Amino acid sequence: MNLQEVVFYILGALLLITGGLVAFRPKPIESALWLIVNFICTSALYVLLGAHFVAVIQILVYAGAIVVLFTFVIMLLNLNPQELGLTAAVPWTSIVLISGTIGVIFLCLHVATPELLKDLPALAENAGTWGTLESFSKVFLVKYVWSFEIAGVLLLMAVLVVGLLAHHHPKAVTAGKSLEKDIS
Amino acid sequence: MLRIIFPFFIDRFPGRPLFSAVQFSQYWGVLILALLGVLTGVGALLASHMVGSRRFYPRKTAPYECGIPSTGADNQRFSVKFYLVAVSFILFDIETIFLVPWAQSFKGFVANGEGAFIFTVGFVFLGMLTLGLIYEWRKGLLDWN
Amino acid sequence: MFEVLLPWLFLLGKILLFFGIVFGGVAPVMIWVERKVSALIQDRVGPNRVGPFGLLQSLADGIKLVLKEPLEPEGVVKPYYYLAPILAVIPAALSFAIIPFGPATTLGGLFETPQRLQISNLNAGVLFLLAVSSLSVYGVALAGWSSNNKFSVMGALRASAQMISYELAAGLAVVTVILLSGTVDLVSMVEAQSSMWNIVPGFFAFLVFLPAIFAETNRLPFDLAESEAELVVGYHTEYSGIKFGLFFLAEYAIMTSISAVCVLMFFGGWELWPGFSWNDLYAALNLGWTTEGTTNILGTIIPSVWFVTKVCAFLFLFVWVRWTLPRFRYDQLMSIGWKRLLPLAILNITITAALMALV
Repeated sequence: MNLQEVVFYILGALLLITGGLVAFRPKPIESALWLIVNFICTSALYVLLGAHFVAVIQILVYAGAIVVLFTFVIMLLNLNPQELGLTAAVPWTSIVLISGTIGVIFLCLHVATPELLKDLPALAENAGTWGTLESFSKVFLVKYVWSFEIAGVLLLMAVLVVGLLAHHHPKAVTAGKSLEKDIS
Repeated sequence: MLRIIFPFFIDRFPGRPLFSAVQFSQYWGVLILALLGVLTGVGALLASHMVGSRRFYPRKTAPYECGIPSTGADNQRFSVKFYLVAVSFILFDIETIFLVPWAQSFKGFVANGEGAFIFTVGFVFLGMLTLGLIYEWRKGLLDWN
Repeated sequence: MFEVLLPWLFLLGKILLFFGIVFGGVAPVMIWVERKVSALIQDRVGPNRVGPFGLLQSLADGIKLVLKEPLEPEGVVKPYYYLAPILAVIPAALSFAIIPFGPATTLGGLFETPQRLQISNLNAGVLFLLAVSSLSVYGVALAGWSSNNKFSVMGALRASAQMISYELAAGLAVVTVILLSGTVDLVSMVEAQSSMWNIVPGFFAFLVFLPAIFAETNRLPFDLAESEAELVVGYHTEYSGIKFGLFFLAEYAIMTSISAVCVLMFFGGWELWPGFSWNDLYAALNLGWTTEGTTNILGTIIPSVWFVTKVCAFLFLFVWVRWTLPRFRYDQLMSIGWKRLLPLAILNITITAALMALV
């Protein structure tokens, strides 16, 4: 067991624990904070794999933009756990069945991996540099140019959807009783 | 037994180094720095708790609202513009990170004589970004906020 | 044994040096500079009682902050109330991980190959700073949300919205500099500016970057979120004593690291002058020194001091602008971020790329 294995197991355990905390905490703001920790652990796993660029992007986009959106929504709505339906009983049977099924699928995948990855000799040549920004950008812009452009189209479509979402005049969002003033 | 179910580091590709070990060791500094930051924060709070004076009375701990008794912070109306700003931010942030590999390899492509290609690629992408921005601008999503 | 330990000792030395200087030195000095410069701009004297020229004023302030009562306002959500200052300090501390404060050095022959004066040579370089500054939104948001105070929540929402809007402009300005330098690594960026500093080709990128970093750090003229007259103090209304001190500390630390990155990206870092590097100067003076400090460690220290001087000039600029310009209204602030800086940044990238591809 060398250092990288130890770090991997610690990170994996942290990932699972924080994932569980995200799902099972009564207050949504706690879930958001644990989600940030979860994303940081994921980023560390990417680093362990040597995918340095993706690791930093994970923090930038996921932990730094998407969870900010979640935080904004949580702050804006400010619902208490009753309204969110979180005080109901935890459906343990469903949880065990679903996670058990997913676990069996992953176990099968894991055992089958050597067979599936038999024809990946390319990875051996640039093992030390395959996740760096330089090598990533070289491959990205030559082999996957169309994916790059289609990603742009997808983002444009997302912008159009945002425009549609805000189509009716922006109404204020209230929580519980409301004051007369419309603070903006 | 554990090794059979969880053989993470079995050498599936013999002869190839497992990790880019040189770059992996650079992250220790990040970890130590983060720990130092946490220690500073926690240490300062603990110091204040141990050393600070303690004279609580209700008027002092009431939330500040320019002298009038507070009616609480839970019954506010917030504009939905904040949500729209956050969503737009995510989209343009993703555009920015797509531009980083493009920008980093630009010089290399120009040196290879493929300047027109790489510029067109970036121009189309930036054009779509601009179209999105113009759409949001015209729709008034960027106003008053 | 010593050879094995040496890289680790070097790393620890760099970390302690950075951390100690910034968190223990820059913040107190900046507070004094702020008060003295604001006094001079406003035609008064400023602190001059505590120590010569009032230099010990910051120390006195720091001691006072720790000795203050650790007040817990009622109704406050305790775990997040105490977590928020720590969440503000962590990105401030992390932002120093990739900043090199001098040329690669052998420390007078201690190392065979020149070692960087950078805590972590991450592959992602400048992107790490962008990632860390996007994490700094959480300290603000949580601080306002956990205080049981209307003004704090409003201030926090507005400050967070402002910070994320200007992160876009800053990110695109950084993309322009990456375009010009062809690398994300800060040391390579400085080396790429040996013939011409990036301020010349990247002038508009600098024009976009400067307001963006003023807004990121919530400094005037973009400090509506913490302005005294408008929103009480905004998101840190209910914070007193050292908790407020921690927010302050985090703000000055991020100001320092962002100024350092600005100098590295646009003003050639530690280079003496575009086209005339330190090695040229040393050769002209017949000193036999190099920036790697092999013959004499002063060869490395002088460029580092020059770099620190440039960063200090930027910090002075922060203070100068704060006490000179009036504050922007919130809607003006957001419209500048989205309607002026963002289009300008995109246009700048397009034109720079076009010129680079043609020339």
